[in-house]
Amino acid sequence: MKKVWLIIGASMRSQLRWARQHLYTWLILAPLILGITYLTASRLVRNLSIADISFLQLTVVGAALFIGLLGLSLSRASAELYHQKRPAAYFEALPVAAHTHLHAALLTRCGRTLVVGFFLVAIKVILQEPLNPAAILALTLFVMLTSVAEVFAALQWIHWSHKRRKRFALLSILLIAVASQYAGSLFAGIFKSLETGYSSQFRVILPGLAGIILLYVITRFAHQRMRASDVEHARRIEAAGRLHFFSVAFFRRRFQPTVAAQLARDFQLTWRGFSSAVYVIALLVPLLLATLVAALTTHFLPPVGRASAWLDAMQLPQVSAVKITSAIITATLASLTPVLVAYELPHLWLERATGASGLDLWQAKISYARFISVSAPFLAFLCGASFGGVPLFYLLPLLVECLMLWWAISSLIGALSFEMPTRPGLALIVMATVGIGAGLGASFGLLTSAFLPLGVMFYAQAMHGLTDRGRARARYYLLYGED
Amino acid sequence: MIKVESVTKRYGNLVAVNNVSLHIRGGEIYALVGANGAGKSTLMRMLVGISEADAGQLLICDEDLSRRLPTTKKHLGYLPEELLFYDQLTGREYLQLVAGLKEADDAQIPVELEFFGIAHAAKKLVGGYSLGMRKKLGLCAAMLGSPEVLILDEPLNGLDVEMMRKLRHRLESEREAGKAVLVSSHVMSFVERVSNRVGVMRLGKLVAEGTPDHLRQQTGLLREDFEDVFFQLAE
Repeated sequence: MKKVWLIIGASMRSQLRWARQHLYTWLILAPLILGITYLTASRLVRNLSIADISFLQLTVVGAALFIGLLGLSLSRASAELYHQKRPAAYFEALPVAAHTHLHAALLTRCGRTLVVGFFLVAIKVILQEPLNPAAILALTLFVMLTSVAEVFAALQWIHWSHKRRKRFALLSILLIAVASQYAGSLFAGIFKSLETGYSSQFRVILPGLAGIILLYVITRFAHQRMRASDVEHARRIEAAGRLHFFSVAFFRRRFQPTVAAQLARDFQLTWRGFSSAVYVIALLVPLLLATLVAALTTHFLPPVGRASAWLDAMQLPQVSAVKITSAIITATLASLTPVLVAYELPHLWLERATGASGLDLWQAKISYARFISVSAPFLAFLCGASFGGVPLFYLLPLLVECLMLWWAISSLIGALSFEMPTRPGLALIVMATVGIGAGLGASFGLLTSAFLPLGVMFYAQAMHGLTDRGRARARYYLLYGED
Repeated sequence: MIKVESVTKRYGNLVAVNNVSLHIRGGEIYALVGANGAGKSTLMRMLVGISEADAGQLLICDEDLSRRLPTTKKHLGYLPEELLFYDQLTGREYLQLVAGLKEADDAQIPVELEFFGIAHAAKKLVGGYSLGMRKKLGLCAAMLGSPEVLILDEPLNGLDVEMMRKLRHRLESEREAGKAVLVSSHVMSFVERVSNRVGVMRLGKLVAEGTPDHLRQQTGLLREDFEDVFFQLAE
């Protein structure tokens, strides 16, 4: 067990030091994420009224959450188990037993799944329900079962991609299905611990506990047998499993070769998570969409009035909410641009050596900002069309407005990408603020369909100036680097 | 100490190591040479248990690696070709971690840091290390616990001339102490000077083996650079 703690201790110490160096993430982005999560959860929970939901319904929700967590953690759990491209890969050559690697991965998983546990506790607090021992026990077992199942699923996933044993895979799916039922019951037990008697709790907790032990024994046995053959395969699929649709050829259809090559590289880097900001933003977008859904489906916004005219519909709270969300998601996604510029700044010698101009650099970044955020207007529009009270005749104009907002905000952020490339944290905040500010302003008038000619003129004037400045700034960094 | 019997390793249709057999005794330095992709690193990874052989047997100090006993790896000191460290740990902290996992004495850490000339950077984060310093840290880690078998994959990459010389002397002293050393390198002058025997690999096969003098005689290149001997054997 000493070796397990040594491995986990080293990893934690390394991560804590990294966190200390990225304080802006914790001081600015973390409160933002936690705030949005809390507000969304509290809104949903208050409106849904858990008391009205049956034990069976909660079981289904819990099982779905369990399966979702398993799917999301497959890649990360396999990396924790087999250490692909990680410093811990060296430990394979040291006298470290296979089960030490397994236990280190399990404890790491437990730590990460505990975040979900805290989230569930927060929901209990919002509901003003007491955290009785039965609920705490059910929560603990839910976290443990999920952690073991995550490692088991990762183990089987790697083995399946290697050996393709159908019978083995079917058995694993069956086990996960049974485990999801237990996980669902434990999840329901967290919220219904007071209503069900002790005997019912006993019927939930005891099988859950037995399930954890059984799954752990199977995982340990399978890991012992499969590690030696799968560890190298895990390393190789990591290297081979790159997506190739961000190829230069794809971008060459539209851009000059110099810009296309840069764009392809930028998207490959993003796909491979060049910065933690990629993960933060990937987390923020669904949260923002969930917030929009919560706002549209609850009593947060005033009820939809009768809108028979174009201008009436444009100012409906539901329509404004969709446009604002579209603007915020666009700004959030496009905010990756300054982080990317900062990441690439030490490697600009490549562009310098290949004769790229400042304009090429600037065009690549503005196109990156547009491409990376292109999903925002569609996502916001789809949520609005599905859940909001948007009048039918205004659906198409709403989509056009969302697209215009996306174009304006992403262009603005992309155009400013070389303004402060050595301070990505500050640039991210400034550009997100500018983008969102412009988006909010635009969603209430300037670029909306009523003032379309004015908006287009304003955009053309602003972009002309920004192009000159952006090209000069990019050229400066191309010539003089970080200094 | 190291026994490789008819070992084969495949990656799909590619045969990375093809029916290779070699024996390395205690008190011997064996150099493995070959072009990139010849199978040197794959063979070394199999010898330290990171990769599994498809066929054949690998023995370290008479213990079969396929039994995957952690005790077998206690005899091993390994320097991988690709060095990955926790960038946010200091050099000393990293070595303390490795010593803990190897169950080695922490007292050896300052000695190794001093020997490899990175004692001054022991309290600095590894993320700030240069390529040479990272290589030296990897060598320190390999030497911890005074293993009976040393497997060093491209140890000279990134090292300065002075450190190359120091490393050569160190390997010679390890040989005097009765340890078995398997080293891969592209620096033929180093290979000729340090090794008792040289194995030449090409497309996964061990195509020639013997002392440097024996290989010279085999090729008839008695006065040329050892590099020419290698080219003739590897072609």
